[in-house]
Amino acid sequence: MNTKRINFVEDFTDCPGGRLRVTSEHSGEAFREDVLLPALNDNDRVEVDMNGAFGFPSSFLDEVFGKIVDNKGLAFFKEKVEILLDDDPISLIEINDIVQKHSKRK
Amino acid sequence: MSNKYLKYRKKEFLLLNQRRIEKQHIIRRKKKYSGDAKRDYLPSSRLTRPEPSRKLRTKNPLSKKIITIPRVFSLAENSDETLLFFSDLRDAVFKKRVSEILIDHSAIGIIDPPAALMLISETMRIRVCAPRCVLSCKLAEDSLVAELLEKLDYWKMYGYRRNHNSELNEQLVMKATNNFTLPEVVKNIIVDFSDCCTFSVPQKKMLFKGIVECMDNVMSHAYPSKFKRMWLKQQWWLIAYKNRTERKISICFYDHGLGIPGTIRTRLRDNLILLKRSDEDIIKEAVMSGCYSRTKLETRGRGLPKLYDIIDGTEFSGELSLFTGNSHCRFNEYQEFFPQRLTNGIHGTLITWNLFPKNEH
Repeated sequence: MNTKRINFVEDFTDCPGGRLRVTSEHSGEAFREDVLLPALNDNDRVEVDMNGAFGFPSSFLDEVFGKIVDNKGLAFFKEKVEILLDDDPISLIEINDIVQKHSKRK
Repeated sequence: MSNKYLKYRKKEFLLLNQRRIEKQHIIRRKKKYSGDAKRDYLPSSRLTRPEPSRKLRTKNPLSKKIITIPRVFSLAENSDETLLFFSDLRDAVFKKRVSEILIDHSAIGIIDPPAALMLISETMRIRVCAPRCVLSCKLAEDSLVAELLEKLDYWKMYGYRRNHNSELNEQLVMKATNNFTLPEVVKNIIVDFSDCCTFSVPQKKMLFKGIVECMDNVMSHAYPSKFKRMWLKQQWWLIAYKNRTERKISICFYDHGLGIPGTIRTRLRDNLILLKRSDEDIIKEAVMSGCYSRTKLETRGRGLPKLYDIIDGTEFSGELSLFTGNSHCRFNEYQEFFPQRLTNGIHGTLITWNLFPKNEH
């Protein structure tokens, strides 16, 4: 089984923010399209190490993980994505909440 | 005389009048660049930012108005008079379309940074949206007031620079304005605040999320394109300052947008006459409970609760103050809510956090 590890701070930025690419350089849309989706397409499983960042605004998380659940489904997300976030438990709870709400919406 | 001839004469007269005004503007600018900065009445220069497509023409090219800023120019202590000043200024520029406005700063004795931030943003808006309106100023006499405005680069907008040596109680940490979400600015604020107080990791994260969320709300919701208004699209203004004596940090964020009630009042029950809730109630629900978004989606509306999360008592104590539309809402760490209806509304949303870090206080 092919697993890829994404180091969020090294591969993207330490201060993410913004929902869309048109309004922010390090937006959720940019991370999803440029980093996460290519990794998901090429690998069986992706570990996203999100430790070390300054913080994750809700709109950023919603755009990244909510859209993946919307487009690919909850089963795909649970099977392929693992999030490592030890230094920000609030954001981790928020990611789980976003994933749950988007899966219900679908 | 034929009608055609009269029309021709009228057109010629208007053209001459226009040229005369332009000539006056050029003379004023030349005076400024030649170093004639001793006068208190200083001419304005245009900003380099691209102008919006809709330009405002002055109704009466010879009209002049003097608008005096109140002695207590503060949103915390004298919100009525402070907002009345801004309302008068907007009225003169955008409704009466006065061609020359003198803003008299000489009476100001007390100023607070949020009011100063609003003054800067309003001046910027007038320069860009109403370039034909000539703004000039009478300088502030109080040295502390002058210094605060100097530090915020306000006098520079009138082509004037002063040097001050007095020590301000409110020490400016950061000022920024942009029409893009810039998380790097927030990172720098947190790094700069570290001189006066040591933040824990959750405190840093809390601040970061709250302020970046404000920026993103401005990008996504504050300036809806279906409204054609005299605003600088997606522009936000931010200042961060610390009070050395009180060991307090403050962050103030402002935009000229539609305001929180204007953007989230999309539900049917909020618009029916009998069931209609007040703006303050809607703001309270959106800020404290969340999931109250313009989009009406269950997955949205997470941004506004982040504003309150900062002061919820876990990492910081203090107060969140929200001026938006005709409402002023204050929230404290004990989940108490203090609504107030404003006589003179505010254009956009002004968010201020006055914070005492828990490990510091």
